[in-house]
Amino acid sequence: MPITANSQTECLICGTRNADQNTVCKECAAPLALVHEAIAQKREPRIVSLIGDSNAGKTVYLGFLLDMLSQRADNFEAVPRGAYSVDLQQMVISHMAYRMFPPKTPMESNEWKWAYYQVGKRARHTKWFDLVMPDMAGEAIAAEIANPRTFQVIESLLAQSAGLLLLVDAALAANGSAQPDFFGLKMLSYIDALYSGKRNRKIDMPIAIVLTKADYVPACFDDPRRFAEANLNRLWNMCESRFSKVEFFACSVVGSLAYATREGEDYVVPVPLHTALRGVLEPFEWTLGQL
Amino acid sequence: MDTRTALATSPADQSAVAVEHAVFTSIPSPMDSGGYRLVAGTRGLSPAERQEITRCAPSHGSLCDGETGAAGLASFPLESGRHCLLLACNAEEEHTGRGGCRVHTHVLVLTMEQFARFGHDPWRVANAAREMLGDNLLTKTEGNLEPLELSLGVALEGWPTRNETQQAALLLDGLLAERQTLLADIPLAEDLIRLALTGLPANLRSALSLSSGIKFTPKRAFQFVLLRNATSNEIELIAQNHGYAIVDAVDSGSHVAPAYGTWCDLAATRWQAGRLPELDALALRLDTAAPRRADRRC
Repeated sequence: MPITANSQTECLICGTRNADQNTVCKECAAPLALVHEAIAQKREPRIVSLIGDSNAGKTVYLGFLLDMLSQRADNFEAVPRGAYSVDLQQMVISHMAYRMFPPKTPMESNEWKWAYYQVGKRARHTKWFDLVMPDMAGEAIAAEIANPRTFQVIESLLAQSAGLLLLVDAALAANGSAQPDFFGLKMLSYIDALYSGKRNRKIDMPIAIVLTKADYVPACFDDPRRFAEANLNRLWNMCESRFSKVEFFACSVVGSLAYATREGEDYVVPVPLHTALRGVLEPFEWTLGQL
Repeated sequence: MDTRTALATSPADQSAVAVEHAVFTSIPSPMDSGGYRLVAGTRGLSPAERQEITRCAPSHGSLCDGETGAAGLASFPLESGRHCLLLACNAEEEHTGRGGCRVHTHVLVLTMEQFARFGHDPWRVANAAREMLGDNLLTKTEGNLEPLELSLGVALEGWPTRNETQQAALLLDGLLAERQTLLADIPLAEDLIRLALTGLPANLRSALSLSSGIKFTPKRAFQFVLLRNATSNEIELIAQNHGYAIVDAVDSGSHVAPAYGTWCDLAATRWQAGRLPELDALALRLDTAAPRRADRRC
């Protein structure tokens, strides 16, 4: 999509024309600062989408990833393009510091937090990427893949994505649930249909499959590929058949977890006692390397 | 006769109507990921209607009030030609334990004829549904539901006092002009809208979309949005990005020149005289252009 200054601002995500004074897109609620920044940079940003089922850990993962980047982990440098980009990171870190998981992300797209960062690995000739990473609700993604065009913003986002991070709940998969496998299969099938080119040509968009909550499944860290082949076989086969750039990563954020209940109530609240980040940066670094 | 009773008991009130319905909420299930989705519904809902409902229904933290028991309502025509009502409330704590209440939304889908039998008044439909459903909230997935029988004889409650008729007249003008209006923290806002509805021709009533007590989102950019507890920044952003006229405690909207002054004045005098049924019956017989013609004649 050409990035040009205009009397009306065309949304970078859905293409809707918005009045100049608008701050978010009237259709999909993406911040129009994305467009203004892109115009200022004179280059189109690359969208890396973070997708996954409800409760897979997307918000926590993205929050910690952005925080690690802005703390220059592994020689990365990340500059937020606008204060709104820091909101997600701040929300996740603040909640975890108080031993709480961040709140559930609502399905309403205007409640999603968008991060727009200029990211590069510090080197003699640093190669900079303008990355847009929205934190979408898992239910909205599930509704879109079940019935395409339910949430058109998701279709637009995925169609414009340069890379994907697909989060899969490894703990649930290791526990025998087929749900993560089926969700992953549906998701990749949706992407396959979205990029439907020639059936004999594989899709070359880089997809990092992030096996979250791997602290429950130590074997997952030893060999994520083997874990996926054994526990997420449908997803594994789909990757082999239709995608040429796929890698599997194990990831964990929480060091130890407690469970609490209130007197007279029968639901259980998980309490993250401390964080121990493992495998957060690697999937992102791999994806960036493929762009 | 009391005006409320007079409106609620027409000859059609002797019967009931069976409507399609569904439940949209977050319930754990071994069959899927257990997030917000349609967990139960009647067979008569089409896939396109289900899709539209999923798009508009409130999810986590989407009610204006956060505490258990808080409620919200939305009413809007579906693309299929039927009319949809969302009756949302905060139930117990959401099952993933990440804070906040589970939002439970009972979805009603009525044909336009059925909606007309309730005088196109969403609160009257809501009262009838609450009488049938009681306080029972779904806590597990149910799959298919049977159609819901709604009584047409449910009484209306809480009409505004005569002092508020001027504000209702301003709202009626907004309804007639089809202005997108946001009412922020207006006392008795729902009652004022209900009162204003009695002066609205049937065509406009059936096409009216509104929400009350549910947070704004572009997918719920209804004609009338009644918000509570929204910050001034949030309200300003909605006005700026979506072109809403704001009516709040500071700005009653009285500076806007009425487009339908004569008709709204007539409605106000009828309300003040307690002649709601007369006005209601008259408005229902009018075509959309009639209030405009009334102004031209004067």
